[in-house]
Amino acid sequence: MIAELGQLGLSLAFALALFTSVFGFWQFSRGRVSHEQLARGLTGTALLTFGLICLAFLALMSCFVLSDFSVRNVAENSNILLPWPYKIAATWGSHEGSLLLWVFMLTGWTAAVALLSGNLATGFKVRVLSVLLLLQVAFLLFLLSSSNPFERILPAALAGRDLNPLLQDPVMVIHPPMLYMGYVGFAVAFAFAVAALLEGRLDPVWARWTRPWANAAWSFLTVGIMLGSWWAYTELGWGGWWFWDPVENASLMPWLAGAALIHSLAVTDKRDALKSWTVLLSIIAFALSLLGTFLVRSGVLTSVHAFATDPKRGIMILALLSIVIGSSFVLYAVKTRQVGLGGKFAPVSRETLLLINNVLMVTALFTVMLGTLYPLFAEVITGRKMSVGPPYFEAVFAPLLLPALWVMSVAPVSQWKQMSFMETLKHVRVPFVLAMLTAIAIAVFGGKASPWSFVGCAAAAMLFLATIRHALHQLAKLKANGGSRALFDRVRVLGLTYWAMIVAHIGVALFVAGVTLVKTYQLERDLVMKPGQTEKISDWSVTFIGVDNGSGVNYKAAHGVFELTRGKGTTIYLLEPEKRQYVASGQVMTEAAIYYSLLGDVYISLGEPDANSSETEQAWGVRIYYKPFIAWIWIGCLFMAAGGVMTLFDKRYRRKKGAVA
Amino acid sequence: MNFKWMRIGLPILVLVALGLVLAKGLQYDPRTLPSVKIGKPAPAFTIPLLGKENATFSSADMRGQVWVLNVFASWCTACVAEHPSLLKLMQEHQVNLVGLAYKDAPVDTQQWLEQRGNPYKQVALDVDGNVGIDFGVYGVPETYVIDAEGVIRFRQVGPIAADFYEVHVAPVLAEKKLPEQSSAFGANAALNQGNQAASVSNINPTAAMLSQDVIDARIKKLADELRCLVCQNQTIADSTAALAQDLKRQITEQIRAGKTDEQIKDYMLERYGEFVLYDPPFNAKNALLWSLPFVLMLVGFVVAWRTYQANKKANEGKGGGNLPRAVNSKRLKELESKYQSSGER
Repeated sequence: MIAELGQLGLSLAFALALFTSVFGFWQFSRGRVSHEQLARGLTGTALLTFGLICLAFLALMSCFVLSDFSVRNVAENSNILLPWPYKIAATWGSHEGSLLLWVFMLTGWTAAVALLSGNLATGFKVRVLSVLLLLQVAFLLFLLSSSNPFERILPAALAGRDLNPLLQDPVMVIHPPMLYMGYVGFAVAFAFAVAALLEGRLDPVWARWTRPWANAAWSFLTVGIMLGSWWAYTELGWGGWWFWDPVENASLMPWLAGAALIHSLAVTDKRDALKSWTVLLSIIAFALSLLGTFLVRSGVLTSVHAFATDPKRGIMILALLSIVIGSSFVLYAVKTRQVGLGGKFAPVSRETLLLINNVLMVTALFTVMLGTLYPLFAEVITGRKMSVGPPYFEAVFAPLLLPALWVMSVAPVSQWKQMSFMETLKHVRVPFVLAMLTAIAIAVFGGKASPWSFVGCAAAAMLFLATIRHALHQLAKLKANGGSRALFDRVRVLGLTYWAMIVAHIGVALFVAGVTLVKTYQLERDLVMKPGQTEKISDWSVTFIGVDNGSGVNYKAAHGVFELTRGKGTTIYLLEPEKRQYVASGQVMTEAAIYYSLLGDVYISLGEPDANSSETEQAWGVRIYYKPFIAWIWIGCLFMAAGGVMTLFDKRYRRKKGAVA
Repeated sequence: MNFKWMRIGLPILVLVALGLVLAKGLQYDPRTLPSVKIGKPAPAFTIPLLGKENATFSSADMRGQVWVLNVFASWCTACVAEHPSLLKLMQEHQVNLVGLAYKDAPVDTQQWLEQRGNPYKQVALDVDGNVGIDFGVYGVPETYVIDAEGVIRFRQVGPIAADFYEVHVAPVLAEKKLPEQSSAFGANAALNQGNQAASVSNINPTAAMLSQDVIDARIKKLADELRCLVCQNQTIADSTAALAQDLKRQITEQIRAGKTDEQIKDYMLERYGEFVLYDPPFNAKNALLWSLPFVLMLVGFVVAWRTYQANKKANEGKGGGNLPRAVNSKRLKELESKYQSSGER
């Protein structure tokens, strides 16, 4: 019954979205309705489809929570023993479920645009909502025709197959919704761009409307990717945080495009410049979200994270992708002549620095795409099977992104329109010297330095110091120029968007520092340990106490106990990694135990029992990792996302008439 | 006019090409593993035989006959499923079937065969799995058809199909035997000797003196660059799969024996093909992969510069003056009021 309700919700939403977008425009073109009426109709439809998809989504969720194994999707991706938080997470653990989540997010964003767009011109609002509703139609069609999550089976399954044990992790409850919020959020910026192209007018007002939406989507995507990375770190059992895996790359591409987009939007907003470029980035960001959906959902590439894939459906997503991307690119090519690059700026100016960074980011993005798709192209065109992995991406990425970091350090102190190069460099003189000293100090005291690690540390320190210095300098300047003496007032005068930039850039600095330090100074031990044996790693001592039998609701486990002592043995922590066997699927999972700290994690994962040791003194294969500063990677991401979110509360984007955008 | 068509045509062309390749790519199974040894001489090996003390099996002895090598193990569940097909193959066709007991204790192999019946003419014991690695075995069972010249003609990963004999063995048997005396085995053996001589001369005299730290660092670096072939997408450093462990052991042994990193990579390449290398070699075939990022960056800067120049001209043409216009609040208000259509509340 519940499943049928969900099915009904999907079908009604599809019919409604189709009807409004087709019938509405037909009536409009015949002059029967005005823009105003059409806008009201579209707003209503957007809210209704959101309500209906909410219903469908909740219906699927209750099927999972209530373990209705007559629904195929539930029978295949849940189990009677599954703990309830994972039953909820299982809602989007399958192909069908994750597509429903996709559509759910799309209707959610559409409804948000409909509600929060009081400041948009009516004609513009009509176009934006139509584009979003058409996307809903396309994805609902796909969902209903090839990936229906509510399909029944007869007879019903007894206990369900089980959710992939890899996905039975607390992070998996929030990672996919965050990620999809980000992915799908770029649909709004896309719709704004298409609407602007259709109208043939692009200006700072357009950029100002688009900015909060793009920033919000990018922030969600940042958090989503960060959670995914953290999940991989804790769950895959070998302490890596990024593998340049196709599925990860699929999310990195829109993220890079989004990062370029929000900066480009800032230029268009403030300076009326880089207009056609900004529009193109809006389209590219969403196109890459779609490409990502295709790569992940079709199973065209092998991945550590490919959970729910089906090549047959791939062709449908591909068709959808081609139509959306193809038509928007044609529109772009035809219309940009009218739009133009916009306002003028000198070759040496903040616009130029932002443009340079944009080019670097887009190049990085295409590099990720090239590396990800290259093996597929090689196989299709020449028939040879090859791999492109982390060594390639690291070799190509570092030379592309390290210059971008230096530009980032300078850009905030530079001036719009035109600037004196030497004058600007003066502002970063002190940070530069301090950054170099920091990098040298790290290389001298840490040892093991390579040219890349030196440049990485220096770039991170430079970005951090230059950003902090800039903020202090701005505050001091305000005071000197007769601003309020109260610090809080001056902070407020600079505006939330300014502080958002500071926070996000500090986040990037922390992230780069974390990446460089963990890459350079991580330690690894792969050994067999007897009970009572102690292994030293960095200034930690790890003592293996033993392994006993543990169990959870739906698994049995070999439960290891390790004692962790720092330095001379003053502090003791217990780490308890497990080797789990899940009852329903019989799959074996390594559950690592991690001691988290800001300065470095100790990470232990349990391998296999050693065959050569006696039963009373059973030795085990153990992997111990020391990961210095790895937490900075995720903290850095949180800072970036926080920066993005802060801009949403800037008064600049709010309008009086009760509309909050 | 031409330029305009290019603006529209080029992106569309690229998109269509991309779409076609992706569509074609959907038809491939990303999990199929390459078999680089097909059409190449089978590796030569001499290892103990099961049940006969001091007796060895040598692949060179099989010269001149078509034979089938089946890799199996008593601990392998898929082998149990395959077993009846092998018995049938023996009964019906009397194929030259040689078993390779892969990473299995001889006692266990013996017991397993006694319980289920022995389809093999001979069973060679590959206790440490090194012969398996030479063949590029991914797992058990695997089956190889080797012709009279000692060349691998077919490889089956996983259990053999019902029509295995008809499709893969009979055609090779039907081929006329070439009168040529210098068989691939001879050539291969000579080659192997050459290789050994070469590797002996290549041994770094200081290898024995390498510190453990240096060895560990090299193992880590190599293991980070090699793909665990049977995993979904993992390096052999990260993976805990049996094959990854074996390959890590190979790397360790070869480093101890004084092989260079390049020699070890070649060793892997010869057995598993390019697929094993996460770091694609810097060669003509991969020219696009390595150069395109930097070409794209250059193109990006050139396009940005040209657009900038064109834009500058256009702005001057409009008589906008030399000083750029700042977007002040006044201009914003103007623009906003321009947008507010008459129907707006």
